[in-house]
Amino acid sequence: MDIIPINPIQGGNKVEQKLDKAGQKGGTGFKETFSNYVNEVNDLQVKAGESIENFAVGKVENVHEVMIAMSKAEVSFKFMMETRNKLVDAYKEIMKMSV
Amino acid sequence: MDSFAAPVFLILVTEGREHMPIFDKPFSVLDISASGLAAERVKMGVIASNIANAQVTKTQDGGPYKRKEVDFATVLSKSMIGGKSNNKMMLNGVKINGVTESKLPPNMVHMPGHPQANKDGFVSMPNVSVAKEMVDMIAASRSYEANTSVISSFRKMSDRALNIIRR
Repeated sequence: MDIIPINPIQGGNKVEQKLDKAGQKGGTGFKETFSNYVNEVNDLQVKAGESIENFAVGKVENVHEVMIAMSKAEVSFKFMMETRNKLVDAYKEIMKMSV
Repeated sequence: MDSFAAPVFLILVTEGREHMPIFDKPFSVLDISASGLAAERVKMGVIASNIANAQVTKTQDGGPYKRKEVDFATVLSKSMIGGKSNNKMMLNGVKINGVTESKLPPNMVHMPGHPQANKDGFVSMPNVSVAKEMVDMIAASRSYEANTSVISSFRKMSDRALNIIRR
């Protein structure tokens, strides 16, 4: 029995390209929007990390600032994860669709 | 009074970015509560200073220690400025406007043997009432607690909001 190699999925890229073209016409594309969103979450994570570092070094006067930076990072990350889960679910749902 | 510097507002800085910061508005509650916490912490520092110095008769400026008072002022939450929100709906944080010395006269106590006593045997003691400071301390600590409650409620609300799409 021959083993047929599985080709990498190309569909995802095509969707992105189309969206990008649409984005150029009016406003930003979904890809850019989502990557901005992820960057923003990353910024909060970095900020939380920095404040923990500052706290460890002894630069922090207000302890709650560290805690708030951490909660911001946590809450935004949770939001991002849920959005991502929803996206993946939607993708799977579409893939399950019988043609 | 360097240690009582105005609290730094916790705001997400997004320099060199063209788009609007996404989390500034949703997290404005946290920023406002953070400003409240910082203000109450400063107040606690001032109260600590007042209690610690309640018996100090000689300071660097000469004369007894003078009671310090904090002055709170509202500060516009930066996260709301970018938005098109109604002026009436502007959310305010709090900041320490300044730490001032009480203008009340010093307490004159008759203690003839005291090194700071004047020719009539009276010593000017600080115009600090420790009982009053204790009351202020309870108020500050309760206020801090209230602000932390706001933060935990906010976190619960965010979790509830996430539960809408969770299965």
